[in-house]
Amino acid sequence: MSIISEHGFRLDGRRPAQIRNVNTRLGLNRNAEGSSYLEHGNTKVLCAVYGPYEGKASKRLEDRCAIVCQYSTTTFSGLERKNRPRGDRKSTEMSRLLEKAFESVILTESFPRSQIDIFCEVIQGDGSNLAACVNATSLALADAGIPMKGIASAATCGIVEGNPIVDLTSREETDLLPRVTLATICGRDEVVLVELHNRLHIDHLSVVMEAAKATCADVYECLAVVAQQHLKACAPILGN
Amino acid sequence: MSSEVLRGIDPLGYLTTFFREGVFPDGRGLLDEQKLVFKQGECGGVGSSVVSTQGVTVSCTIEASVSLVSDGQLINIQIEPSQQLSEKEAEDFNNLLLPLFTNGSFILRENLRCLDVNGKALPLEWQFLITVKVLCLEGNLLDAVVCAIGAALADTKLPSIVLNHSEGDESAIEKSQIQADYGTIHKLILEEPLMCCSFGVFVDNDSKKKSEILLMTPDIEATSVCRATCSVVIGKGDRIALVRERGRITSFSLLKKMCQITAERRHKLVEALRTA
Repeated sequence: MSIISEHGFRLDGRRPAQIRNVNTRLGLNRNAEGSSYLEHGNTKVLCAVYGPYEGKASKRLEDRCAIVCQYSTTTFSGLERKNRPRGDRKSTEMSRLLEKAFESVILTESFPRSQIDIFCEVIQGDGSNLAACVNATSLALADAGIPMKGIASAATCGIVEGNPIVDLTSREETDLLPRVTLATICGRDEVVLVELHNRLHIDHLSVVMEAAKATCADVYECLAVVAQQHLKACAPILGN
Repeated sequence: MSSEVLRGIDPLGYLTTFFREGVFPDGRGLLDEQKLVFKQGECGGVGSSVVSTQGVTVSCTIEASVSLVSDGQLINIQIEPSQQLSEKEAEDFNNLLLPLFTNGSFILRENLRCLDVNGKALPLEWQFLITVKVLCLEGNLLDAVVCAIGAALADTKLPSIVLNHSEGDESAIEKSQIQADYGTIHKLILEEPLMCCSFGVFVDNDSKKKSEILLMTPDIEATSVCRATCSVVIGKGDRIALVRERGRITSFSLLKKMCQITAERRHKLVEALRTA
């Protein structure tokens, strides 16, 4: 199966550097401090943020707040029906990656001895799940009004015969295709997450990183517009 | 005020003084490599090793068992938690290392087939349980663990298998039909060794430029003042097998530099093993 056709199109008709449609909604969950729903093409993620609150004593940090993240996927999110939505090796790894990434994004020193819980659920997984979770979490944190260094945006980028392709679908996420998930703050050169799948030649690193960086900047533009629109919509409620 | 007092009161200021001069407090250059010592075959199992580097000492033991050919996972890693390594961290490292086996960076799956006395592949596969024990943890664990697993796999000696089950027989293979013959020993066919290097990114806030300083294999004290840490694993054909980044890096060129340093170090190791 060829990922890029002879005319330069991908399996779903996109160009190699073209991202899928991004649709978002904020503030869906009334019980949470902040929540978001994000679609990257057919990848659909729901995210809720609770806190900051005085968390468990075992997780409490004296100088900053603890970030606790739970990544889960619905049992019907992929082609294979899963037995359990969370707790498996992959979900645990994803949770840790999100935790570590957002520890660098949130101004954790502003909330000592407290805890912020982030719940990400992939409702439908069609590739770039981690990137979609990062983007959804950024919006949910913005909705919760938690101070951050900036909105984090993420993108997955692969390389086919030396040419980068961005925002991969599940059909493109094969066992052999090297792919990097990169998250940056405000689309700038501030990297908070790098995750590599499969082996990537060192000579291709610059190409992949440049493409991923450019895509993160594009995604950031989308997220920033959503956050600003949401803020404008909330202005009458807030009395501004 | 003595330097030890300053070190206790203001570790950041103490370390910054050294990093500005381009050295660690022990006199090592910021991008100088540290000594790596390993010993094979001392911890039982079919293969084992003890590795000591950068203040970290780990032992690795491989236990083998035989199973029928399947698509299942053949290698399981277990990093045992200790006083210095929590259960959560140990689980993180397990999850991190497992893809190095599934993507064939250490060993290819076809090289785990059981062989008979004549070296012919049988419809059986070796299953490995790799147990890593942390004896001392004063630096980055990943560097030592990757090296220890590589050394233990290189030390692994597997017996020939005698299978008393004819090829045309369609009945299931019974446990009693499989016997190990320790008279003929086979060594594993491994991929080229992997090299893991850990780096710290230190930001000098007092300088005008607020430049990022790259530190190679920082110890725990230096890591605590770093804004970001990154571990890179490079394997055969200069292919990056793993990147683990924690914290915030503001320069993409640093990531590339880390990969290049690791690749160069790996070349040196391969050359050293070839000439040894």
